[in-house]
Amino acid sequence: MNSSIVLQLILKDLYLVRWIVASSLAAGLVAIAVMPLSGVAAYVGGVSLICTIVILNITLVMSTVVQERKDKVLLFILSLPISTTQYVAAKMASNAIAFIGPWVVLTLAVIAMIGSSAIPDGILPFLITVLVYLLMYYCVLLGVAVVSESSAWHAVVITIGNISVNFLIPLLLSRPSVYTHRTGAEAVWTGDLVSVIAIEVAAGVAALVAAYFVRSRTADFV
Amino acid sequence: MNEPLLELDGVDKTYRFFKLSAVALRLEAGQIMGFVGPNGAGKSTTIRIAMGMIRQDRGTVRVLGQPIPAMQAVAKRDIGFVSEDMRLHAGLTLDWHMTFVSSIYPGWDASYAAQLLERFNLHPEQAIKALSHGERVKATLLLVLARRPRLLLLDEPTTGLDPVARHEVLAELMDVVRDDRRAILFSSHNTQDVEQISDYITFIDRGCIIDSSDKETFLDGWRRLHLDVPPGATLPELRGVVETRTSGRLAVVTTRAYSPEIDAVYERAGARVADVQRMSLEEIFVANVMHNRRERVA
Amino acid sequence: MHSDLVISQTDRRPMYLQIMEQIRRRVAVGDWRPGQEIPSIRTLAAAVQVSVITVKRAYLELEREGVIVTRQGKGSVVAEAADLRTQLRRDEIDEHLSAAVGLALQLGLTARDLEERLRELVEEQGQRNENER
Repeated sequence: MNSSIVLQLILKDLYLVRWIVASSLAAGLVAIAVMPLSGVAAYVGGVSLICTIVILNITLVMSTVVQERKDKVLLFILSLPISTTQYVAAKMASNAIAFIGPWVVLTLAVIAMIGSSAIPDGILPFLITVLVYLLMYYCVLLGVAVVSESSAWHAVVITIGNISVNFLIPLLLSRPSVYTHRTGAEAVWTGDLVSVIAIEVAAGVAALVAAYFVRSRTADFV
Repeated sequence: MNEPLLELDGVDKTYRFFKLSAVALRLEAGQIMGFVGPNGAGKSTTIRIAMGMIRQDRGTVRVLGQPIPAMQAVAKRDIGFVSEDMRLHAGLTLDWHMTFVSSIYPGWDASYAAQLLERFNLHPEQAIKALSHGERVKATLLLVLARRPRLLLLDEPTTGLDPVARHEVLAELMDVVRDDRRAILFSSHNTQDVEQISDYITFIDRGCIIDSSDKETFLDGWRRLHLDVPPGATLPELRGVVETRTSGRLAVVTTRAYSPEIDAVYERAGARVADVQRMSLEEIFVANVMHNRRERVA
Repeated sequence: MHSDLVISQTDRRPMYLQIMEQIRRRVAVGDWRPGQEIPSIRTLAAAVQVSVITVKRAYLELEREGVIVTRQGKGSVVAEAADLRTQLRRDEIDEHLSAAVGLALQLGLTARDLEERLRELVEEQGQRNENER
């Protein structure tokens, strides 16, 4: 019976953010669609895609985790027959689904777009690395928001996250493995890119797991 | 059913500027307990500890036979909790909330819910953010009452309600204990409501329970005696006297352990008992708190 | 039936006494007849919106006075005593008269003063009743 309540809570949260998810997905798909049109379009589309994902990230975390706490809706949810641990799990799960769902769709769309268009496949590993970085950014922000009520910390993470993306792109592009292959017809997955992606995934998972454990151990939820 | 529905024993909780000490509470089936205390006394904290939302530093908490916070999910299946600062999803409607709650609790009584909508004059299609304060409180209570939970833990359920709404809410609360297997604990600083419907009353101040008893014992035991003390007569020190105020010949004695024999004791000491007044729960509450604070400082 | 019992907030007398008085009055005027079932404690408490413990106390006291009888597990009924009605009405008058006597003594009136005043009041009331007809 309890697992069904957790499911209900997840569905409820997804229902509450349906417009955010839908519009981000739409905006992201449009951005991807325009990329093959021209060099400028590729640049604009790429930047828009990144922005859309980042906005989805921040809006989701803020409106579900942070707002619910501020609004004291938390008290209503905790009055339901769930433990505090289940509440954290439901919150993180719904949030993750709301982000990762669109993220997966957009990433697949990027792969499909690159494969079917004039844009050289060689740029794909670079794009994937950036996309996975955005995923990691999301995990860290969610983790921090779940653990800390301080909006100062949220602001710090968002600032660092946004700025770091701006540095990541030129950094990656200047790496020989990316630079040499970026116009090539084939996607070349060099060791350094693969390890960067692996680190990003590991960091994201670690952030979520750590947040879950820390929050579950919290004695006082209100 | 002999097991109490709610039992707190030796519960401590320390915060930076506030400490809940040795809180003990016991609520049996069929009872309504009023939990009275000034703002910041620890009423909300105590109730949230009972709900497992806050973990006690020390002491045992058992609700509906379940240890808290360990088994809170099980206990909460049959607990209805409403808190004055609790909010529902502002952008959603009352109807959405009713559907949501009814899908979680098998005990949801749809016809009773419909009756309550009528009695409380609520419109289910309305968004929560469009409701006035009183309507929001009634909506939250409706969501809890319609499930018919065995135990109700209400943190200031009538605060901020107009007299008509209060009357409606009290009527529904009294309806709950027509079933002698159910019970209610409600905190309030509206002593009138507490005085009217509570069977048992617990006073709390600055993190400590200062008194707990059934209502009739409180109302029977507390009195204000107006005495005329002629010069030369001294008032004897009586057990249970909480305060004695003298101005000139007149003295007002507040006692918590009144019996008619006390009149005789004072008369024998030379004083004349001009009047013996019963005290309202509000007066008892204030006198009790003040006395307790003086004792603590001493 | 039982919902027309009303507890006054401003009446300083204890709630259980108010309940007792209203039940006695109903028996005295014959609205509640001997042997008639009266609402259970919890039902009355919910109807009047007064705590169960208070209604319980009222019922206990009424039983001690012989006004009602509580049967084990079967609720309460109005007592069968034949002259209960008259007795209750007499009790009520006695209550008011005792209060008047107490007040008179405090004011320093004698029994004779009180008797005279009582006679005057009865006459005045009689006159008023006449005028109304």
